Amino acid sequence: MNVRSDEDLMLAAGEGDLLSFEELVLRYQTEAWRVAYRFTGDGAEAEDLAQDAFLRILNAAPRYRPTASFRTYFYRVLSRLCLDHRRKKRPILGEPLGTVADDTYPPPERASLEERDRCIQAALVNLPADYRLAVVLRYFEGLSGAEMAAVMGRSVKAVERLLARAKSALEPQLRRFLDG
Amino acid sequence: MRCEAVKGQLTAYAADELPAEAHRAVKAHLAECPACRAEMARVDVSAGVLAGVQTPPVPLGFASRVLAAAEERQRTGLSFKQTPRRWWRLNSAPMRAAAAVAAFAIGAWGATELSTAQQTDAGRDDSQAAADAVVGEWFEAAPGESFASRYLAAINPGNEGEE
Repeated sequence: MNVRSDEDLMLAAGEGDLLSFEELVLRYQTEAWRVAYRFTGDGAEAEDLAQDAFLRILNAAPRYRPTASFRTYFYRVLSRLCLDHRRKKRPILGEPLGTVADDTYPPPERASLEERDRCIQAALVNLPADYRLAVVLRYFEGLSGAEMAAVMGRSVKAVERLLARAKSALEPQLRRFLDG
Repeated sequence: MRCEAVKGQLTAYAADELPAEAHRAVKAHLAECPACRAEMARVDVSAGVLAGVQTPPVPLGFASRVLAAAEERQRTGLSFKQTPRRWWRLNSAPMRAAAAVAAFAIGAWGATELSTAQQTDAGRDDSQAAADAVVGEWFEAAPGESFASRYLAAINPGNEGEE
């Protein structure tokens, strides 16, 4: 079966093909949710933000030209929305949705893992918005320096400096969670 | 991917020097292996600790809700707008208070207009008829099958089906 590329789906969505748009949503919903959740720390805000990203992408689809990969374009739209969200509203650490249930650990250890994740998320949300975005794109999305540069509209060196400053701000709070 | 293979790549992983596929493989292994995460943290604290953080799953029905919103916008021809709920959440208390006052003022004006219509319709003291006087004038030329024509049909049962 011929699997259509993200770029082809996006071009089709630009001609009003909502089935192609739906396929893009299914392919990228996990990434959208994860970035939004890690950036805002709040489930409801994260869902709004992720949905906004997809609707903005659909709105812009008629003008889309595949000069860069759709993946880069997607992260660029999402990242800008994250930064706009921060500018408009101070992020709150709302009720977290809880962590993924991990049955390999007995209940007391699972509770402590959830608490650990909550503390880590709190440390993340306390970072300045651009530091937080850099950490999310690198450590949760696995973007390379070149990909982050394309997404954030900066040079690779600028992204590396940003990430180094973000880590300096974050790591003192992470050291107590070192495994082992 | 085995731990021995991963441990030999941790420094390159931290320096972002691995090819994309190898990077993904190491990342996936670190998510599952506390021992390798501890080793990773000796090289890069952020990489070691954050690799063990689990993100909650995508909310159930998320894709359906996105598609429903897209279909609604396509149907109404609206371009992207901020949803009312998001506007309310994102704006400050003074802005929300101003919006509430404006909504109340509009509602009060509407009630005043309705009251005026009631007073001028001397032949009927039926408040529903008074509403018709206001609404009917506005929706007189509404196309068939529109919300307006269906509303008029509902409030004037004798005229059902007429356009």
